[in-house]
Amino acid sequence: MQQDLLERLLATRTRDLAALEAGHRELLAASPDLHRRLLRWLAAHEPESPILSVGLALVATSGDPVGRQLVTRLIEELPITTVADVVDYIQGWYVDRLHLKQARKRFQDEMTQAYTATANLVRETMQEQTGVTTQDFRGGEILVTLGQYDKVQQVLDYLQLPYQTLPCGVIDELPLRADQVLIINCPGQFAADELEVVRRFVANGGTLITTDWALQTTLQPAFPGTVEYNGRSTSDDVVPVSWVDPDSPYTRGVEVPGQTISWWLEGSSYPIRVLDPRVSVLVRSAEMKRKYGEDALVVTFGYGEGRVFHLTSHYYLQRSQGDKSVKAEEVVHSLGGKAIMDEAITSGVSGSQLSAAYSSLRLLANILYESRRQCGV
Amino acid sequence: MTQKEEIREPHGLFRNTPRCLRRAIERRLAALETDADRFDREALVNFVRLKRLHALLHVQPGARARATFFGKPVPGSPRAALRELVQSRDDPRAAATLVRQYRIPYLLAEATLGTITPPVALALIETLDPEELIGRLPLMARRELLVGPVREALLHRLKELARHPSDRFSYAKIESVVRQANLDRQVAAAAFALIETGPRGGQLIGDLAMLVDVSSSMPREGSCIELAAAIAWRIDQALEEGARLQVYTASTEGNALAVKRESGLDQWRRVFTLGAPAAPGTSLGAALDRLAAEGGAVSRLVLVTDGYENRPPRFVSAYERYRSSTGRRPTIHLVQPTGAAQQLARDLKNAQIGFTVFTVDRHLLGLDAMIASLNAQASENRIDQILAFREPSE
Repeated sequence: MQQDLLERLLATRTRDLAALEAGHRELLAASPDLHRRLLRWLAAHEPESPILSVGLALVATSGDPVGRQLVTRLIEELPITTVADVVDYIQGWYVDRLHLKQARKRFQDEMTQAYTATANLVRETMQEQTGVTTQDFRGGEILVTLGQYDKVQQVLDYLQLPYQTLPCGVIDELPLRADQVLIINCPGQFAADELEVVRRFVANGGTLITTDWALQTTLQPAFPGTVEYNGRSTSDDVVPVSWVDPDSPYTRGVEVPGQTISWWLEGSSYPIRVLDPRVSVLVRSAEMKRKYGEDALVVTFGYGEGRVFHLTSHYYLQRSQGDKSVKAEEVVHSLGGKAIMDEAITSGVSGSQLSAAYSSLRLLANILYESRRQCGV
Repeated sequence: MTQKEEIREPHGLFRNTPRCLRRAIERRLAALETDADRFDREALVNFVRLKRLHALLHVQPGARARATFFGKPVPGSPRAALRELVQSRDDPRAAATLVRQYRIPYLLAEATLGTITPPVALALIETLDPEELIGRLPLMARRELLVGPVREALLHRLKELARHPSDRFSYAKIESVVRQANLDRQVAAAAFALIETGPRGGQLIGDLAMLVDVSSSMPREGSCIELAAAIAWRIDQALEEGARLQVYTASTEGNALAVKRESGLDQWRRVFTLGAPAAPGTSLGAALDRLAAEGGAVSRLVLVTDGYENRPPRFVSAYERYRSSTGRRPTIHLVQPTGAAQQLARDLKNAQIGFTVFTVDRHLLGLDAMIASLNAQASENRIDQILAFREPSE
């Protein structure tokens, strides 16, 4: 027990003075003798350690006369820097910070109500199916690079998943982890050395999600020979989805029974040409192939220990698609989400808007929750 | 619209300094003032701290301290020399002479002169304390000072320091400096000659398990994980006779490797000639779980890894299970190539689990120091030392 406390104290980050103080208090309460021995050992071997200065400050202000005697004796031999640190810690100091926070302004459009109505259902379903909660995403597990054209943050907000946004240019300064998800908003522009960081991140186990123009700006140079832009950009169009991979965990529940998913293509979206047979197509559209030469809408491939996802067009759908005549009641019933029915009906959301929002949320949620589950966090 | 929030973070105890401590510090400061040279040196290096101690605790300064901290520095003292140094900004030779004469620390010299010129850099290389010299090399390299005569002087100084057994540094310190300063092979070799060998030197005591990350992200030469082979061979040689050496590979699952003790380097190379596993992912916890299941109660765990872990079971949780199932608390050593990630180290830090890191330098000059370094840094050793600590007077 005492040894455990000692080990924990020695393993505490020396910059975290409050944690050091807590560790000292625990050890002091458990064994004052061992604590004094620790202080004497530190004075002899690591005299400039913050563990020592915090410990001395604590003992000096305690009521223990033996401890106080020890401190006065050690003070006469220690470096001046440590003596000054002890006095500083006893006297205490304040650090004043001014925290500037941008007030959150949520984007409002005709799909807002549909996203709001379906988000809870998606979140609860994912939690139930994967056992992963939104708490498991705390600690910077989702990184989003800022882009001009896509705003996946809006979808993440609806899913109540925490994320960190960053400009593309700082990617090479981050200590990326192999259990993180990096989402690159369209267009995603990186310098060559930053692309290498992205490639290494995936090779070491990270998950990369890109949309639309990032196909040409990020995926083609970072992962050559996998996918590419076919050179025929789309017009502002809506195409029906003809096939969704029934076996992939990433497309589970994306299809709304009795509904055809309509995929909104923004003006100048980039169709995906698959170059490597190891690239899996998750969602296809026959009409997309007829009109623009490629049928792939969502693709994924493994690279090293990680995985890359790319989809045509954007995550956040800014308008409804498909058959607006479908009543909200029918869709809600088929999704099994009775709870959202009232809100959907009162806000005048159509069935196609609901199913489009649900599919869009579910696809992203599948990827994020599944990657978290696989990482074992 | 921007919201402003003012945050005030308190640090420390917010107590008055106890009288007994104040008296001890007064005695300490008075003793310091009795030796003018030592006082001047301390006042040069720790000016702000000493001044604050006097002011905060209302310690009556002596004549020299009063002049140094609250008046005009005594002529001929290093603090007075700083004023001369400011005036010699345009004369690098004069500045170098002052730096040599008063052994002015690097940061003070740079702050005073604005920029370090090659003659001043040469003077600093010759006069800095060994610890400061080693610590400032990355900064000097960033300023592109370690070229030509300055580099030669550095090489000469490092060789000179190697002759004094008192000037020794930990492997981690030297490796970090070599990496950050991007030292060339010759200078790096001279720096590595300053590594301390530790009291136990070259023998490892107790059973040891090696968990080797064999996932596709580990650097390979051909299909051999050379680093793992070189480390395993050295550990095998250094491990005491009769101690068990268990080796496990870790990818998405853990597998035991059967290797006899005292195998040659070629045999270890053969053992670690493994293609990338079919299933991508790294789980060091899987290898540790396997070790626990096979009853391997060891006193050291050496993890050869690139620092990434992305599949369950994770190492930190597996380590807690291992400790409770075996009742042992093995010391953890992360042995990793240059450029390895800090992910695993951060996970261990967050869980307050003690560990050591041995980063193999890019020149592979420090590998021979690995065993001594593992011995010297082991947290188990640190705790043992604390538990057994007796002062000379006791």
